Amino acid sequence: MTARERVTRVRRTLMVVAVLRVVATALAVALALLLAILVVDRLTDLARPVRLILLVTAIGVGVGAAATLAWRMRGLASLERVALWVEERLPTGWTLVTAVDPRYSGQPMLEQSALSPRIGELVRDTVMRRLTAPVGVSLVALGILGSVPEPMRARIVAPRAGDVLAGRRGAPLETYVATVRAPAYAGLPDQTLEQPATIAGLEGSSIEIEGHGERVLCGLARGRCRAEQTDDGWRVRLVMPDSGAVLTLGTDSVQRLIALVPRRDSLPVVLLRAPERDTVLRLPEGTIPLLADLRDDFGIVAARFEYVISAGIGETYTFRSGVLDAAIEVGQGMRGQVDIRALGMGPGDVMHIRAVAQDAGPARRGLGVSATRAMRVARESDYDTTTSVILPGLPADTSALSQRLLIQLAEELLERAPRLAWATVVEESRTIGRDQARLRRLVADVIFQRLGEDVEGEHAHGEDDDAAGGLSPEEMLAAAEAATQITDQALDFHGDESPVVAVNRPLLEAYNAMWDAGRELNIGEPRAALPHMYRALDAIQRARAAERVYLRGRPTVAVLDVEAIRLVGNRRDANPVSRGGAETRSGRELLDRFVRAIGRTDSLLVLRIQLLDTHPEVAVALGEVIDAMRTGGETRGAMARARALLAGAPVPTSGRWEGW
Amino acid sequence: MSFVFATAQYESGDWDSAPLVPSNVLDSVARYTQIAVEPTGVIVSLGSSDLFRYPFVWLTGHLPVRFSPAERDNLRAFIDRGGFIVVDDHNHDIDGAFHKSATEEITRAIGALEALPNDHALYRCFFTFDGPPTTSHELNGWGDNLIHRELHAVRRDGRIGLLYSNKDYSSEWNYHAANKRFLSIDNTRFAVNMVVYALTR
Repeated sequence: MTARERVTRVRRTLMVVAVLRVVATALAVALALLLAILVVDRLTDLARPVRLILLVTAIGVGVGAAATLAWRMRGLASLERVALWVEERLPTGWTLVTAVDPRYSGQPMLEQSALSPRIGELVRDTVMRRLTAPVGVSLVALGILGSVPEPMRARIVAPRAGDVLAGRRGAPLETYVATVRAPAYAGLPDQTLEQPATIAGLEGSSIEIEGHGERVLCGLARGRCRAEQTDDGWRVRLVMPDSGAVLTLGTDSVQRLIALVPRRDSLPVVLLRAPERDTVLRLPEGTIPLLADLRDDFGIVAARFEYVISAGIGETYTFRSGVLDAAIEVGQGMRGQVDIRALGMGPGDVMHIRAVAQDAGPARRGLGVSATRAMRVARESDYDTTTSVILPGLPADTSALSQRLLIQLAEELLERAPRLAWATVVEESRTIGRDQARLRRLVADVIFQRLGEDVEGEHAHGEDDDAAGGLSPEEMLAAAEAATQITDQALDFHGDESPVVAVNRPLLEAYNAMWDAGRELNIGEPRAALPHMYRALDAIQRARAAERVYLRGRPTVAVLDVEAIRLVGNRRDANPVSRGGAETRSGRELLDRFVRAIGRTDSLLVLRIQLLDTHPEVAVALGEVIDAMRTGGETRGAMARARALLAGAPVPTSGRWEGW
Repeated sequence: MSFVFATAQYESGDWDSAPLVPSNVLDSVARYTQIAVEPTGVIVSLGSSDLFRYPFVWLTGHLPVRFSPAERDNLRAFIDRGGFIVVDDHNHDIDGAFHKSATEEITRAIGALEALPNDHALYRCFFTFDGPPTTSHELNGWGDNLIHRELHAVRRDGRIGLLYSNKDYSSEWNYHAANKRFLSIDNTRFAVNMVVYALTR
């Protein structure tokens, strides 16, 4: 081995030692600082942001120390500097330094100096001396940190939301942590909040609040909460209600209110884009494309097109329904098509079609449905007749009292009857009876018109001879049923009955019940009349439901595409909207209450919940006030903003420099 | 939190006589303002506590109105707590069954109606009107065939709690919102004023 090779070998060893020393020093410095931070945290209960800063500082100092050390050992890059380092400790009269110089290497006299066994001893001694201290400190610090309970250690080495419970124990209900877990279908991450004054989350989220100390009691106006004792303190579990509520936590000495602010999962918004409007088809053939926009806050899980086809003429109709295949394309809605011929539609048939979507939320909330479109296949007769626009029917006879109102009157009479003379009861009862008879005649008009009989037929009984003369109720019902040629079928619309029968039969039943009610009312027996009146109302309701043939005719079918129409109107002559006048008493009352509530966070919290619906912007400002008061932060700005909003005054700006 | 148009369902009468008004009014609110709106309206029973979830409620009908005790109490509490309800006479007939029975019920439940001056803030809070906009139905040969010069209201400390109209806005606004494009001037703009007033006063 030449002197140069020997020095190169020494340098390699020293470089390994240097790297190890740098790493061990960085580790030792950082761990020592973390130990110091841990001690300070146990004494002062450092806030999470402070702990985060100190953690970063400790790591930074360790890295800095390592970098400094590495800089100082940069001489290892040069072979001559390594030879000088050896020369300094084992003087050889500069022969080793000269031997590594390429110009003089290979000279036997110089090479002798490289054979000194003391060089090996020097290297070993250096390894021991340079590594012992940093490695030792690192191991000791690691040992100490390892012996500290995990929650305490985690507060320092990995600060996270919710680790406040591992800190010092304060007064009851001073320290608590809330964990909000949204329903699985929402796919939202868990949320951990420390000492929250307000917990916001999706309706139905499970909320778990944990804290130290004695067991607490909980109270919730809307919904249920459950408090339990744990090994380390207490825990309260509840489910986010469907509307804003205040959760009360209390011990014997302390009470704390937490505002629960739910976010509702909306039903899917479904808009049928194509066909754009109701259509009449010349021939029962061809394919019609279908397109629907689907939107939901957490995603659609199922969607389809539904149809109902009505076929028939006059009083004979058949209905059939079904579902059409559809393809859902992300961002482009749902597409499908309907083949008119494949569905067996013929002239005069009408297809009602709509789009339906379901989100991942609880099924009990229902489906999102679009408006319905109707597509009718033209008959041949359509082309040789004049098309007429069907106007709404004649207005109802508004002078008649409704069956509901008659029931109310009879019930009121029954309540007052004990305090009235018998003759008065009979008189008022007959008055109701006369109105009942008028309503019955209106029902008869409908029935007779529908059955194609003489409209005046029922009136032939005369004004006051309801129970005498002409046909009896039973005879009339039998005659009416004979006219429909149906005598023994069930009174429902779910079988094969035609719509006309389905509409008329409940009306016939109502008509019959009105006869019975009128008879009882005419003899002054409102109590006996009421069951018949209820029966009549029930039958009318069924007839009304039968009139509203699925899918058209139901109220509130129009669904708006809010985003598409937002602010497209002409606002040229619109005034600036003036917000909450200070002159209103409600505003003054709220302002007074706000002033009284300052300094009492819980009152502010309740006020905030009450204002969530009516004054959302004030509620937001109050939320900031409450958070600031609880954390000891700056409250003046948020307070001034809340007060100005309530008073209707200009809202002060944040006070930051602006316009520069 | 979005604005929801609520239609009041009451026991007597035909409460659902104007099924397209909700979507039409919601369309106008979205068309002219930045108020967040739900894409459809809701139906709320006048006698249920759900009524208090909606700051703006629409009530209309043709037939005689008789509130149940629960409906009467709820209406009173709704007005006292700051709610805003519009009662519209779908007959536009001051001699009609709805007008007579509804005004009687309102007087009984929350107090007498008084004429609303035509320079009231309601007519300026978003669009500017000289008074209640006329409707094409007022002189259509039905009802009382009058141009009703003013609306009526029951107020609570200066704020309108109940707005009563014989102008038959229920007929005037009962069309599909998409057909608004055929109108040179949108006739539902006054509905925006109603909603803005209800939400800001």
